[in-house]
Amino acid sequence: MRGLGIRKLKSYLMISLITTVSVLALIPIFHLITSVTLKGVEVISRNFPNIFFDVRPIPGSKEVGGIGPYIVGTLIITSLSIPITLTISVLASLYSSEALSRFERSIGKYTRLFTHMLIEFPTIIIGLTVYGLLTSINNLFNINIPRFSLLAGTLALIIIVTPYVYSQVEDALKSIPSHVREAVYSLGVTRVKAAYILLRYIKPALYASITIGVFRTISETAALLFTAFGSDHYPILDSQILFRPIGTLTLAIYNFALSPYENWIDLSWVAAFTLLVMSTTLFVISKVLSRGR
Amino acid sequence: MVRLLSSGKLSNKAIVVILAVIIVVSVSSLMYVNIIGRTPTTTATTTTTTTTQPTTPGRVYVVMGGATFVNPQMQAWIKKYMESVDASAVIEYQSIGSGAGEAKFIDRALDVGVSDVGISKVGYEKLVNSSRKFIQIPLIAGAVAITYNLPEWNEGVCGPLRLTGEVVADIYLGKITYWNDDRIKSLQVERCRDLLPRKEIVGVHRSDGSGTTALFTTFLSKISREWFEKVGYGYTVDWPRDKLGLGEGGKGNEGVTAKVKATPYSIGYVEVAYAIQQNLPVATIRNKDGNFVIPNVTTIAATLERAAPELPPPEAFWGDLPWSYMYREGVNSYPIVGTPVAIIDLETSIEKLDVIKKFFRWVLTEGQKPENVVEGFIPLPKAMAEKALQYLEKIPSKG
Repeated sequence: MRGLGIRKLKSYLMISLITTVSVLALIPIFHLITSVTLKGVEVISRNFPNIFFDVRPIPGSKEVGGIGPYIVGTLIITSLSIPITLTISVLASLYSSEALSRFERSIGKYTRLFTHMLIEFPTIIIGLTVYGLLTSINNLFNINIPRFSLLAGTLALIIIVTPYVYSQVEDALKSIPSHVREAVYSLGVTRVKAAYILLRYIKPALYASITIGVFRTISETAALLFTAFGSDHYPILDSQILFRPIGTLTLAIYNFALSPYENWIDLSWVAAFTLLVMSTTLFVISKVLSRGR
Repeated sequence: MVRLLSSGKLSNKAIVVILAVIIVVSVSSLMYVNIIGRTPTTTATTTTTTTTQPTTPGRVYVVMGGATFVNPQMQAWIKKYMESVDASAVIEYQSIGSGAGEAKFIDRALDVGVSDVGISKVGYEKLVNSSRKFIQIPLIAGAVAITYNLPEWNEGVCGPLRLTGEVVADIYLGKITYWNDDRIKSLQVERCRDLLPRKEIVGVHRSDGSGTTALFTTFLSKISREWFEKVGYGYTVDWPRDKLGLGEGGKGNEGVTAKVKATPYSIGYVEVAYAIQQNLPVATIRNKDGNFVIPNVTTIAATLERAAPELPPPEAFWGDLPWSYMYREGVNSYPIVGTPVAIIDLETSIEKLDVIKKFFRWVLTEGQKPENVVEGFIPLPKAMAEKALQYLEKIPSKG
């Protein structure tokens, strides 16, 4: 029975090793969450609740200031780009996974290839591409579309996030068992109706991919540098809003964290905490929604 | 919590919908109240300051961007200007870097671009060739501080470390390797010379392109022929000390600071504002008159006062301006000084130009007063600010 003892020992050793490694892997995440929360809450408590409405303080002064414009900016740019992103990506994934004819299938194939390539692109390049595209449009038609604008930022975000949502939804559609799909089509309904039924079938996955899309949108920085540009003022809600720069939480973190001034660095913690809360809320909502039925 | 709720009579869906509605309504109402609550105050000031201009549809929006270095000062100016002088227009400044500031200005994406060292030769030629109309003005002064990590050094007894431009150049060239090199030793006060250890010097520099590097290498180029020929100056250079394995790069001022703090026997350069905020040890540098000076308001202003008459005309090439700032004569002059330069597009709309002119006029007068200058920045000397004010008159205005 000696052999069995050694086997058991080996198994225990292995299990404890795996446990340690997985705990080690989780440490950075816990550290991130706790440090952002602790520091964020500490700074927020100094100027609550005005910290969520005020504008940036004079650097190096005693003021705490706030991140109001960046919250509003993030909400605006997200609510502008997400509906378009979702429409494009859900329709495209339906097209490429439910293709019937050979022609449709080949288009679907190239769509898939192209989006997978697009996902790998560094986002700053997409930002610069949008900038360059608008520049050449301006030069071509001799007009002046402002390149540092909400419009450009939204465009860049749509290009970045669509491939993510697309591949998530497409994977989910592909995972539908063939008997279900056959059953749906054998009902003799229109293709639109069939697509609707299939989408309902993958509802939890759909919610998850929407969440991923929103995550990706609110956390993007690099692509916004030369498109949305950033702003430290409350956006003016008029007809020109699309053509003016807009600030986001991520750009605020980027700008404030790199400055030498204590009160600006503190604000970047608050912005990071706000992002954390936003994404956690979203995560919980999507979990609950997808569990709904 | 979710499980707890779902055990009740309400369905999950209903709870989520209710929660979502509550959150959205509360957040949006708070935002709404806040923004609306602000509007009357701003319109009130608008009507009192500009009585001739009743609510023009669409506020004028000026987009400026560029150097990271001046960002804190620009934000402070914009905030004060919009709060206390003129709230009718919106002025935006974003720190996208000096290089991007120049490039996007050439692209006409910015109304005003700001660069640490003035526009480059290539950029200037592009502007001239496309016959763009623009003017340039200095905004504020700053300097580069040399910081070090020398555990043996007792600042209380010996004072700050003393260095010369030649020695710094030779350190970064790799010609001076050890801290107890005779050339460093001989600069220090007698009683502290033996504190310098026989340790290799680690030369820390910026790994990203930066105006701070441009100023620092311009200084070294002006003072050391060998540096000028072998390395030269610019936003990024090839660091000879790196090739010897004795140099390290750090991203941004904060990267250099962290590297210097973590590496004993290292030396590095950062903006003065950064050194002051982070309480770094700062070396004194020998100036042209042979005095060892520390960067502060007096010494930096002393340099600029001497350079003021050499300020080029507003449309000329300003890229050589930093060269004329470095290593100036004068008892107190600190040798590594720079002024960020704003380049203003004269081809934007007259409404924007009006706002730009008023704003920069305020910056060059009220903005240079101590209460409006952020710690670590140094106001322009009077002669220079006045010259810049004359340049501003070239901007066409409504009247």
